[in-house]
Amino acid sequence: MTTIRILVACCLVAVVSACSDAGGGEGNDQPELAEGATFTTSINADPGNLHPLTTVSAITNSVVTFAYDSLILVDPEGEIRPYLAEDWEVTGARVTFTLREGITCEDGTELTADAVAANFEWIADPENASPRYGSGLENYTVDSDDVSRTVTITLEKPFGFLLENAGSMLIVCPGGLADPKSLSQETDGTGPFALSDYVADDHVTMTAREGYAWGPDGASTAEPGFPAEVVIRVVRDPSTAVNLFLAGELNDIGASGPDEARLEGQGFDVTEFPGGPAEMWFNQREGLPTADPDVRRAITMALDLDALTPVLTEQAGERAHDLTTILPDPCRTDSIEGTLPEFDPEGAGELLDSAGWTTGSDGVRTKDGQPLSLTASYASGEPALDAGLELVTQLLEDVGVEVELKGEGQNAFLATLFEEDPPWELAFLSAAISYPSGLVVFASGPLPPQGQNFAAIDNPDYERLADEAQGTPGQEGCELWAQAEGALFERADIVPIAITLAKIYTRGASYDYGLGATSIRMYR
Amino acid sequence: MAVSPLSAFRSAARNQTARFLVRRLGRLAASMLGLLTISFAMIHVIPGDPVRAALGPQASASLVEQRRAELGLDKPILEQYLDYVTGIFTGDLGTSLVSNLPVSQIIADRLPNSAQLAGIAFVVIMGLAVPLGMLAAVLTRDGRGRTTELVFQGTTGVLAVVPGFVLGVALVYLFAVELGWFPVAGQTGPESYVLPVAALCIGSIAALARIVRAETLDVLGEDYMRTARGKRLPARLEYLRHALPNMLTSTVTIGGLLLSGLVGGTVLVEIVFAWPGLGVTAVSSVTQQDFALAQAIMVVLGAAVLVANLAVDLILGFLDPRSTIREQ
Repeated sequence: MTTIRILVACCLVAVVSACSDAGGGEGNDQPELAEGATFTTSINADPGNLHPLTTVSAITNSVVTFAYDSLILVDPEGEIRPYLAEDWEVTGARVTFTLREGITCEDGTELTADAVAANFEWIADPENASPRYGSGLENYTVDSDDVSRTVTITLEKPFGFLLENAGSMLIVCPGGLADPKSLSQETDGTGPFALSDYVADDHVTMTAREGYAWGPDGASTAEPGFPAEVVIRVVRDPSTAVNLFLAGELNDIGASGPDEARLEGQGFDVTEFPGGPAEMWFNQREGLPTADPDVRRAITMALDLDALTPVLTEQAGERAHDLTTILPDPCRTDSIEGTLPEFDPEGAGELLDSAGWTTGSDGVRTKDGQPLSLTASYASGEPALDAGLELVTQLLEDVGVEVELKGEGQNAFLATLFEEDPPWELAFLSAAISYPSGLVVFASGPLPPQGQNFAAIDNPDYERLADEAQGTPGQEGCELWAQAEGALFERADIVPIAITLAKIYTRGASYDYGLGATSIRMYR
Repeated sequence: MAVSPLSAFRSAARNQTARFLVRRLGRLAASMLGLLTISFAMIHVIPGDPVRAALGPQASASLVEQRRAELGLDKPILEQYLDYVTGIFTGDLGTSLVSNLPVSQIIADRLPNSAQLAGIAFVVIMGLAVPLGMLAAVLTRDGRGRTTELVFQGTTGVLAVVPGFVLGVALVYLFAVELGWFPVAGQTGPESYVLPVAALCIGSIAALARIVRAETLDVLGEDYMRTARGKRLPARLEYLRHALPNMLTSTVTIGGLLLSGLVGGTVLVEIVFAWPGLGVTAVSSVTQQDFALAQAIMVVLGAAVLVANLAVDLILGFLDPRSTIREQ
């Protein structure tokens, strides 16, 4: 299912890194460590502009995280670990990071607190149009002190994920910030690798930096088995990528569907991590049948989510528990239990009857002469989604709801979602969110083109609870976010269906994706 | 002043050649203008918002508008078209929406890789298909070699209809994954050319060899060939000096079409082999709605086809001065 990445300070390495736990696997005995080896991986599209503060591409982020560090690391368990910052202090609206000593940029200059502060000032400058600014990390002042190595960010109002959000931003060195255009094809960070070759649409080569010792928990590039180089190849065709892996030309591969079947049972190490969720959103604009909460609830009750889950995930997923699926997922709550209407086709029919939708001779319900005929919009091209939507159509037909499926290409679907008067009543998408605060702009506020509330959701309970949760840190905040999400489910504004579990296979190397590039080890 | 018949003939021939050249170049210019217009129109009718796609759903509406204005996408469509055409003629192909790199730099980086692949494939096709087709004709002329004919027709018939990318997948599985003789993908050295060139060539060699055989059989049945055989000329002279030039016109015509086809055919093969050429970039630029890059690539690939066709017409016109192509 198409993924709409609503990542708040979480990018692909954060998606992959934060997302996967270590090793696991089908149990290869790891042989002897190899020195000076090259770790080769692949991405399925050109990373494009490599500026870490202007990109929103998960693919680009998976590349730049080899060359840039963040202040903290949120590990797969949601624990916060030291990274560039050795210490931090957070209150509701203020966070202070204390930098480690001895951090250097690629050009050898020391990374100072002022230089870190300049990153936060840079993204806040409207001229730079940085997508990093917003979603809670906005309207702030930045103070820094090179002597005490501290950087303090103070928001106008409290934000529960301030530490995670600000601390996960990749930090660019002063030379790069002074010449941001250069960052589209070069790197200037403090990371364990520095870019040494970039051929667009072909490969990116990163070379390990000597003397690097400020990774998560003080990880360094001097560890035995650490690769001398990382080569990231652009391989668009998934079957070609699997061929490369099978031929030993790649050290890891993320695979799904028929290609994954070629990898199973061959003894490769495998890491599982949660991918994007499958969700159904209702268009609630005035005059549409789905503006009526009873219709939305009836449609939700007509769907057998337990039956839909294996179809939508190709037998590699599970029922969703909440709307935040992408790790680090600091709020691991179950907001669905007791709030989302349960599968009950008879009850769905009765609810539609009471809402005035009566069944006609052709089996389709009508009200005031208008048939209950809905258009379901989705991004086409994924067989599992196509199959799942056929099942959705059948289940809704059983309760007298006619569904017309409208699949489009990824970009066209995105444009359709954000139309001022969109031609759909149901949208099937994957809002991959790691922090519940990331959902707010989509589930409340102004409609396109002024805002991003594309489904025209107007849920006062959600807005009140989200506003309260926004300023509440920790578990207490998570409980409030769970209640806010529950308010969306009770009114059937959004229906979370399933989560896909993605797999990464590894050979000749080990990679704890949750801890990032410094965890890579190469074997003979 | 008296004009000799010979000089009058030469003058007429020169005039005819000049008119032929002017007509062909005029058609090329008109086709290029059409290509520019169509490439602009096509990329703009693809549904979707390139800026929203590039910035993602989380980007605020104001940020999307700001970026759109920076790229000139908020201008009227006619103004965008005029900017585009002006840019093409002034050498400014714009900047890639995705990578922020100058489009001319991207094309300069990628085009040589595609041209190498297509060029090598073309040479291999012509170098193998012509002798193979002639040999098959010689061995099967006058009803001889029925088994050879069956094998040739059957094999080439099957290979000619298998798409290059399907063949590519099979070649990779057998020779790279299973046997490990060649790299799976990428441009890593001379050995990395073998499988993609084979994927591009095999079908075309089969198709062209069938045509060459049929043409050669026709030529071998001509009176002048019977005369040549009657004079007991050596086989080398008979086939190379008398048969080959007479079946070259149709071979060059088909060869030109194959060269044009290779321009498009490399796209899919490049994807299968992760080849760093223009084809892969073309696909990504269209799917990502990278307007400037997609338009420029369409123009470059389209221009390559037009120039290849022009070259074939000119070669045909000069190879055979009696050819009716000079009158068209």
